[in-house]
Amino acid sequence: MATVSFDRTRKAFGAHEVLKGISLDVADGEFVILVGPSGCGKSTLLRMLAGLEQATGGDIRIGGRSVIGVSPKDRDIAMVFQTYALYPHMTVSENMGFSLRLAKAPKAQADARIKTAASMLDLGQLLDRYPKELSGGQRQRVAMGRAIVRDPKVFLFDEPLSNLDAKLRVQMRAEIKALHQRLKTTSIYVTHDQVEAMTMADRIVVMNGGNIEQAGTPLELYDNPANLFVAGFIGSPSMNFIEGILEAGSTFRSKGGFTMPMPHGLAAKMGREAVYGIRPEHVEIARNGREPTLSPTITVVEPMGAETLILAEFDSDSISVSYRGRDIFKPGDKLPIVIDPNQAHLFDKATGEKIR
Amino acid sequence: MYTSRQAWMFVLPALLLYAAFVAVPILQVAAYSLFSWDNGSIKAFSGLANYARLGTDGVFWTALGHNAIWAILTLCFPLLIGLILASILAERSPRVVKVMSAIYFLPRTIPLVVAGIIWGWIYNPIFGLLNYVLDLVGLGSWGGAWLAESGTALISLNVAGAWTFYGFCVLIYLSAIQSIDPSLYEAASLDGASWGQRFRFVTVPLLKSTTLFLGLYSAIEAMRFFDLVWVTTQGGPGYDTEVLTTHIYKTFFLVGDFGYAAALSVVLLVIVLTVGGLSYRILRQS
Repeated sequence: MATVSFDRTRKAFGAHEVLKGISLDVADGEFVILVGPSGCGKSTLLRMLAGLEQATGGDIRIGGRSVIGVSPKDRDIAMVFQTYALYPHMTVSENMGFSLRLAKAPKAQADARIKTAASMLDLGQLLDRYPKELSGGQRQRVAMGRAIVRDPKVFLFDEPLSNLDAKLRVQMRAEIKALHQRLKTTSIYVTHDQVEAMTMADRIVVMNGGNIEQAGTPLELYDNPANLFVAGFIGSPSMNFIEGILEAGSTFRSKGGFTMPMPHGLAAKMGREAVYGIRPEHVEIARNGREPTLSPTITVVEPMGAETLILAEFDSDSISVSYRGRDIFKPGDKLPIVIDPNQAHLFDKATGEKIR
Repeated sequence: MYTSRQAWMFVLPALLLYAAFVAVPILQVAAYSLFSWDNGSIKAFSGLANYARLGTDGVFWTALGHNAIWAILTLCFPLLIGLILASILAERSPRVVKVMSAIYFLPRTIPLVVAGIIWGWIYNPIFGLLNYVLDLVGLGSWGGAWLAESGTALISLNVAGAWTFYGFCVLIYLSAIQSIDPSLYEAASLDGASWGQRFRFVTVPLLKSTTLFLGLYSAIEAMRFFDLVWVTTQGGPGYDTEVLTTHIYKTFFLVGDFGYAAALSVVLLVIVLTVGGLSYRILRQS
């Protein structure tokens, strides 16, 4: 196990700068997830840590030791690839034991480690099979087994679940998390799926355009997003954004002229252009004679069983509402809603930063 | 949907051409091999007498041996050189790959007759490039009449043959290597493999079917070889570079023994078809 540090790490491909000076410290045993849209640089950062890409600036340290110029094999890390990268001509056992074979580990010791990893991942019956004889989930387990056998300082995961179907993804998510809780090896995991990030991470690092937008625990990011990008990226369904202006009396007025209550305790400048953010699950339906904040017109109703997602429009804006219940709403109906100001967020329109 | 009769109509033109230019001539040659000939005309039916002569024809066995040596040397060198060069090339930039592939492939585009003339010059004992270079580096005593001495003639010719073939191997191997998932190499690097170990444990095993294809292809080519030998040595000195095709050519055109030449041709055909059938089977299985 080891700490990992990125210190103003940069990467450019020709004139195109992919990472613009990343600084991040990962604690010993921590499970950190790098999340962001395609092209944000998260996989490049992981590959640089693995030694598969060279940094063009800054430093990368594993266990306090700089690994700039150190070959991948000497970094004591193991990586699980998106395509699994299992050697097709080797059996499961040979795949898992390949690194030990190269390191000329004694056969008895290698066999024992393969056996331990296989039993941990329920692969005991598959050791003599070839990758082509395995299902996607089994291949994924073998790829993890290959990493575990090495007992590395750091585990790296590069979108390991993206090739699996939805059901298997949920199952593997739980297995990876359980595995980390058992092994406690420092792990860095890349995904574009914010649900994966929220459910698995000790800490999430949200990246965008080669920069870190925000790093924090899943609930910190959910409850207190630093800017519009993080607010829109974390949480499913996404946060509603309504553009408007701040007015006297702690009021937000949307472009269409609707007013909404400001989060309490916020002393914002009057006349400032802002974006009002509220999560769909924080919008309530006005019942029992409660005065609605808004009554938009329903455009789409998406029943999902446990909850229902409704998309509604008011003037030029739209708002989505997620609630537990089975009220019969249909497109065209008015939806009386109440917005809790304490659950709302305000962002500066020009900078995207949260107004505090 | 077409009826079976209509389907046959589509196949018929190709079938007729195949029959006229492939099947009938082969059957004709097979038939000729069953007769004894005199001055270009059939003398008498001799059954398998021409085939019985094979056992005592020392030149036939020498030639067959040379074909076998040729096939083994081709398997050893052009394939190995092709594999190593392709592995090195695969890690270079696309531009380098493009330029170098063209350079490597160039000898393959040269007609074998021209290649024979070029290598005839290179090996020439008086003004040849090879002896000149050996002289230049102080190894003049190693020089000799490469194609005229029995110890070196076959090997020298094989080097020329390898020169015409290795570029083809580079291209085939290169395209096979480029189709290997790059993350396998990255995984191997992280597993602790050096370049040599990645080559040995990832590249070579994953190119098994490509190697099989090239091996069988070169074995068939080795049996059919003619141009290069004929232009340079004509099977000489003595029978030191004699191969089946030159033996057939001489038996037919120089000796005029049509029946025996036909029998030799049938034997060559059977060998090539056997190797070809074997290749097809093995490649299908792999």
